[in-house]
Amino acid sequence: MTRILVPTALSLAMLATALSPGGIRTAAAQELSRLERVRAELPAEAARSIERTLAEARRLGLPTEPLIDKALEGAAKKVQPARIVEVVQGLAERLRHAQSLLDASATPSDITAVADALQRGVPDEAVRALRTGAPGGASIAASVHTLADLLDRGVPMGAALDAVQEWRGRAKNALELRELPAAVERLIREGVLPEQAAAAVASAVRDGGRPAAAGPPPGVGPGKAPGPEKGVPVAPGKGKGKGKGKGKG
Amino acid sequence: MDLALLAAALTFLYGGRAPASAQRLEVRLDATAAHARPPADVLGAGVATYGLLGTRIDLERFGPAKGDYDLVLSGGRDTREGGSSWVSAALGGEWARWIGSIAARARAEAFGLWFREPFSYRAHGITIAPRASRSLGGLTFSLAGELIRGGWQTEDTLEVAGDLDVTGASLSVGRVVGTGWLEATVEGHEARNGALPGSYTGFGASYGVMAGRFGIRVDGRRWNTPAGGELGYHGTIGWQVNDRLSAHLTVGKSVTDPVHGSPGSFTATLGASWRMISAEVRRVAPVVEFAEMVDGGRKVRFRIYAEDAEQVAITGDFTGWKPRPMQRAGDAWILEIVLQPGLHHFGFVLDGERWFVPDDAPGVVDDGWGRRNASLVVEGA
Repeated sequence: MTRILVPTALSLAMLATALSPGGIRTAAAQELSRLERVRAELPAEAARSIERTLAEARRLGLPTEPLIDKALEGAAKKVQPARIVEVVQGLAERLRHAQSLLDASATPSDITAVADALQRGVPDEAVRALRTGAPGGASIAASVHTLADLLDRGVPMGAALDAVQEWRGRAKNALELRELPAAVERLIREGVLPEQAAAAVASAVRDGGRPAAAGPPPGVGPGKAPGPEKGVPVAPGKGKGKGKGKGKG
Repeated sequence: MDLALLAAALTFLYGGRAPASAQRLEVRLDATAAHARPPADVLGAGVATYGLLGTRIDLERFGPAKGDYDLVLSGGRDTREGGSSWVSAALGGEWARWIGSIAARARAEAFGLWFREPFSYRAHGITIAPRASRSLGGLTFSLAGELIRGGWQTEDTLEVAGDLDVTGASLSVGRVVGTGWLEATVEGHEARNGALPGSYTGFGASYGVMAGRFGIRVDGRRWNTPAGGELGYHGTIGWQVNDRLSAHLTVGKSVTDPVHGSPGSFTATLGASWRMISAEVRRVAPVVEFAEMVDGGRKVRFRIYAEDAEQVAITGDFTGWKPRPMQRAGDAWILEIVLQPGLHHFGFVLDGERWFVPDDAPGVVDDGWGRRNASLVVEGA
C-alpha cells in the first residue's frame, strides 16, 4: 500500500524555511526550533502531552509561544516532566480564560499579558473594565501588568484600577504608566497606607502632573494617625494632677 | 527585657535583607512659631508664644525592606520674660516590610528632653512602636502599639524623679472618601509620668485631602484622662512650596499628652521645613531600565547587585531560557538586550546554579514550581 504523507503545518513551516532565500526564519520556523528543543529536553511522553496542549491551543486561536516558553523554562529549571506538563496545561487554561475576557481582535500579546495578570490576582471585572476603556482598541498589556504591580503593593483593587484609569484617561505615555507602581511604593515607604498612596498618585495624574510628583505636604496628608502632641511640660504638682516619684532630697 | 523585645522586633522586621535600592541622606531645618493658651486650671502656665528651631537628619534606605534612620535635634523658647526654654533630641529608626498581605512597620527611638526654665525637667526614654495594616473590602485596618520606657527628673523646690512608662495601643480604620482619606481611631494608654499618671483613652476621626500642592486636614478627638474628659480638634493647611520647602498652618486645641502629662492648649502654629541637603549616599539603579526603541524592539538594561557571586547570568523567555552571562560593572552586574513588544518573564542565575530574583524586581510572579520570576511588558511602537 502506498503511504500518502499529509503535510502538517509544522512540516510546511520547515519547507518554507528551507526554501526561503537567505534562510530567513519565520515565526513558525522559530516555533518549530523551540519545539524541537522541548522534544529534545523532555521525555517523549511529556513532549507528546505538551504537543497535544499546543494543538488544542492552536485550534482555539490561542498564542502558543508562551506555552512553549513555559515548557522550556521548566526544562531549564530541571522540573519534573509531569509537573511541567501540568503547569503548561494550567497556562493554556488561563490563556483560554483571558481570551474569553477580551474581544475577537485581541492580540496574542494582550491575551498573554491578561493571563499573567489573572495569575497575579487581577479579577475578571478589572480586565473587562480595562478592555472597555481602551481607546480605539489599543493594547491593554501594559495597563493590566501595571494593575497587577499595584495589587502586589497592597493597593486595593478599586484604588489600583482608579489610578490606571486616570492615567489612560489623560492619554499619558508608557513611561508615566511605569511610574505608577514606583510612585505608590515611594509613598508607602514614607508611611502612607497603600490605598492612600494610590489615591495620591491618581490625584497627581488627574491634576496633570506626573505620578512621581505625588505626595502629601508634610504633616497634612493621609496616613498620619492622630495622637497627642507632646506639648510643653509643666512642673509636677502644677498641672492637672500631682506627680509621683522618689524624692532624692 | 525591653532591649530583648527591641532586638526581636528588629530581627523579625529586618530579617531577609536584600541589597538596598538607594541610600539617601537628607538634612532638614524646621522652624515653628506657636501661640499657646493652656487651660485656666493649669497653674503657672499662662499664655505663651514660643518658637521652635530644629534640624532633622535622615538616612533612608530604599529597598524591599525599607529602613529609615533619623536624628532630630530641636530647641524652643517661650518669648515671655522668664518663660520656658527647652532642648530635645531623638535618635530613631523605622523599618517596613511586607508580611504576606500585611504591611508591617516598626519604629524604635531613643529620646531626651531637657526643659530648662523656669524649672528643670529632664526626661529620657526608648520608644518602640509597631504597626500592622491590611486592606479588606475597601477598608484599611491598622493596629498599632506604643511602648515607652524611661525616666524623668525634675528640680523645682525639691529634686524628684520617677519612671516614665507608657504602654498603649490603637486601632484605626480608614478609606478613601472622595479624593481624600477618612480615618477613625480608638486608642488607649496606661501612663506613669511626672505630672498626670493613669489611663488615657479616646476615640477620634480625621479627614485629609490634597489638591495640587496644598493639603487640608481636620481632626477631632474625644479624650479621657485621669483628670477628666477633654475635646481636641485641629485644622491644618499644608503647602508644598517647591521640592525643598514646605509650610503649614495649624489651629486647634490639643489634648493632654500621656508621655509628659503636658496639658492640652489652644494653639496656633505656623511652621516651615527646608530640605537643606539631599544627597544620594549610594544609588542603586533599578533592576530594569527601559531605553530607546530600535529595530526589532526596545533596548532594556538589566542590573542586579550580587557582590558575592563569581558569575551572573540572566535567563528568560527572550533567551530561550538559556543563561546569558552578564558583565560586572563595579558592584553591579549588567546586560542590555533588545526585547520585542509583549510580556517577558525572566530571572537570574548566580554561579551557574542558584536561581535569584531580587525583591525589587518588577512584576514578580510565581513560576508555577515554587520559585519566582520577574516580568515586564515592552509596549509596541
